[in-house]
Amino acid sequence: MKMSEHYDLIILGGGIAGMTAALYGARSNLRTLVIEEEVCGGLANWTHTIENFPSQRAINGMDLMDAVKDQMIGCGADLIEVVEIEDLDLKNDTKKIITDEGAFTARAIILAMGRKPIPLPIEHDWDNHVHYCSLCDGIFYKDKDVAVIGGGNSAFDESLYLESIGVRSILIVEAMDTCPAAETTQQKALATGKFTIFTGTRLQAIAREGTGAQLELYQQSTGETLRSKVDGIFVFIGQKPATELIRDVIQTDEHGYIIASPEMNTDLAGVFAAGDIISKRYRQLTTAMSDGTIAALEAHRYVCA
Amino acid sequence: MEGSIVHLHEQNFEDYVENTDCLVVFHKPRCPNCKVLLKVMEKCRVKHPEIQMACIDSEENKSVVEQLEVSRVPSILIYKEGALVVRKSGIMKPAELAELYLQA
Repeated sequence: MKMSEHYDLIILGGGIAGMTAALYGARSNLRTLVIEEEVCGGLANWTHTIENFPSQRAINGMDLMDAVKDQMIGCGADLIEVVEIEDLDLKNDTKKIITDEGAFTARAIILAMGRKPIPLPIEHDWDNHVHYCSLCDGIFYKDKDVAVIGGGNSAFDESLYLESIGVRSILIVEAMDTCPAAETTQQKALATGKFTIFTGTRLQAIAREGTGAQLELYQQSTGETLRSKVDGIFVFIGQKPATELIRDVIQTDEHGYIIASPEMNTDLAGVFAAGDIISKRYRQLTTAMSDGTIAALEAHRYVCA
Repeated sequence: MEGSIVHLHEQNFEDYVENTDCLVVFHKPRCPNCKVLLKVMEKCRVKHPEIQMACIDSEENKSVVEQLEVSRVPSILIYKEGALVVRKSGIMKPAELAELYLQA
């Protein structure tokens, strides 16, 4: 592939929404390029087991995404990964993407950059023990004690993985009065006997102590500060949309998510959006696939008009 | 992984880092950030063939992981003249990876 080329359709982001859009784009004979800043797969790569993907009773997220990537490439879509996007021109009829690999132009663009994890919002000097991926780093805490910051579905799913690989105890710290995770998942966690759940509690500070650290935990209802010693922290406090590059040119909501029509049109002609990056209530693999499908079909209509 | 990136293991790790100025990445299967960094290494290697790059699977080579107290993956260790001169964890861009090595 030459490093400066014209395409019918360029898709920014190689998560499930972007890859599904590329599949549909390539199969409808649009010359299609996917540009991914890291590697394909998006947040699904971080999921140990996916149990709600039709046709798969249980599958590892990275395995599923690798299969979709192979299918997408097999259909003829071009892909470049580990690419730095330096500039975008989305307003003209011919859209232009400047990257460290070269300049690419297209008639239509689909924005599918997804979301990124929110980092721990406190200052600390304990970087080597603050983690964002239990699949990656959980094994280093076998027979040790950890805190998980966040009480949503991701936090509980990742915590159950930590429990399954032999972490001795898991302290869940959730700022809201109740954990937003599914009740059944919470019950599954508590049934292991290894979980303690603090709700209405905020992590205020981390003080190193030996090989571990004391966490200062502020309980909002009582105004008390509790202390708990752990060997490591895993942070799952939500995601933010990866819209920094386009926030000034595309209409977004107050949280930075792209406002798209039901047909995935943005406020710029020829620019579509799909997946977790758009403003909507539900964010699932299946809904992202639906968005990607619609965006590609709509892009095809636009290119062929 | 490109052939030009050396795969290390417990048997050859020490000998390799003692005798080669190199950048070694500790990784793990199914670690998303490791997947990114291995791809970054491939890209960096194309632009900087002079940098010797190697990787080691931290799950299969636990004695090396314990000896070097690697507590997260991906971790990047840079050796020059047989000495460990830089260690850093997490992902970075190809140009940053090259700079990390060249500045070490």
